[in-house]
Amino acid sequence: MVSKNQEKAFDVLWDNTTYKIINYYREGKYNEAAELAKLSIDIAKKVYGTDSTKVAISMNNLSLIYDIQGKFAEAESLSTNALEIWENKLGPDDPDVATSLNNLAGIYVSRGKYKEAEPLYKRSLEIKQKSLGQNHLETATSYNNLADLYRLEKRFNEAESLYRKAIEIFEHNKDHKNPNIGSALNNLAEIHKIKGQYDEALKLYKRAFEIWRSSYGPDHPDIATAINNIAGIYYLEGNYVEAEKLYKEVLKIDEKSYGKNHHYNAMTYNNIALVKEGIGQYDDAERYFKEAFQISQNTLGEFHPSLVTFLNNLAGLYRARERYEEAEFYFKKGLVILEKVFGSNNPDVAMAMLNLAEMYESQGRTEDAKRFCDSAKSICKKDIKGS
Amino acid sequence: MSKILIVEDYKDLSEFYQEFLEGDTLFTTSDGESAVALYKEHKPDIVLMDLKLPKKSGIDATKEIIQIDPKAKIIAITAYGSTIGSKALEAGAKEVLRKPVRFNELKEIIAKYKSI
Repeated sequence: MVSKNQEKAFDVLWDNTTYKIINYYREGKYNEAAELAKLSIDIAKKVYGTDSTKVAISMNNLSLIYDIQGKFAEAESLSTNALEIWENKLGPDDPDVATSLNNLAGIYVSRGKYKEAEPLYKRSLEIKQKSLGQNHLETATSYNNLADLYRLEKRFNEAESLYRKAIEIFEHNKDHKNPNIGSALNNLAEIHKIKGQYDEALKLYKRAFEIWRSSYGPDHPDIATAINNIAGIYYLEGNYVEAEKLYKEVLKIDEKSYGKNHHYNAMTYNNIALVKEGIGQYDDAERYFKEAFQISQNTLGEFHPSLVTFLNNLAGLYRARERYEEAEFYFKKGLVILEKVFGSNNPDVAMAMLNLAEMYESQGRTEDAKRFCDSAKSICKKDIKGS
Repeated sequence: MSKILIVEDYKDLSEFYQEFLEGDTLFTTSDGESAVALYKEHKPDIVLMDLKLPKKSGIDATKEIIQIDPKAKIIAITAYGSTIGSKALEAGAKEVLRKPVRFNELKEIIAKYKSI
């Protein structure tokens, strides 16, 4: 039995622990956050009982940490238990139940279980509409979450209409600096980009950038994402000067946030290389592709499928310049990684072999072409369809 | 089920795409000239367009198809880097994939354009 005074002391302990968990989470110290979250569940169970809302909150926190750590099964189980506690304690229509539904749906999305996520997001939205009102910020966040799901499911028209609703509510509340409005604008922009409506996409990306910059400051990694998206549109529109300038800004911000050796930087070096290649600055393109490969190898190891993109891009550059030996060397290096990672009976391996075969044929190396072509064909049909 | 036009002059690769896209209605050709003709005739939902082709280049075929249908969803595929890729985008291709194409990437992109 816990006395009133002891309970007060435990309240303070639980609150402080939860505060620390949130801070660790924000700082990206997920192992530390997970250890504390486990402790806070234990405290809550002992002091408040196994079915208390504090247990649900602690479970929920741990599930969010596990989700980001990729421990999806554990995350799902904790989140399901938390939801049950909320529903039993508060009834099915409480806003906290809506939040819990939302978290569980997020975990389903992480696991690719989109069909399971949809009814939860919808229920969460309904609860918020009923309990908080149509124009509440929480309702807007729910619209945003459901829209994200539809976007992932490629239900672009439904997603677009929900993003617009979310943005309308954020604007109605004059909550112009809320980073969530930035996310909604950014994701809406992505849909316009997919539809080839680049002008509209650019406008929206720029608005997202402004909002994120005023809420996060100029050096936040999300700012780099926003600039990267704008650069992508410039690239698609053929505005290479602007695209290159912006990709270099992305690099500056990301290097500050993550250091030089980070996979994001590799992607940006690759993007700059594509721009350089596009405008015929081949030596620079070669240098940037090599830099991308090197960074990626340093961070992901010698045999990671992400390396293959950079190797193939480099090889493509050489092939276009008729430097076939180097092209062959890098295409083959990519093929070796694919074989090592996926095994030799894999459609990507077959595709890489056919690509080499095609190059050999164009060089008149028919024997080599045939050898690679036959190997590719031996990769059976089921492996293509089943991929 | 969607209608997909595969324009690829390397026969084995074209067959590979056909196997992968089994279930959709497929039209295939190995040159740019007949790609334009097939587009006119069948109005496919998606075009996979190799860029280095006999008779008419993939860039020119893309330009002509875009003139016929500005909303044509053409996915350019090239083994020759982003110089030619940029030209394909200028001509109206929605995306450029570099060879060797990765299967998941192709799957994602085709699913994406089927949904628009």
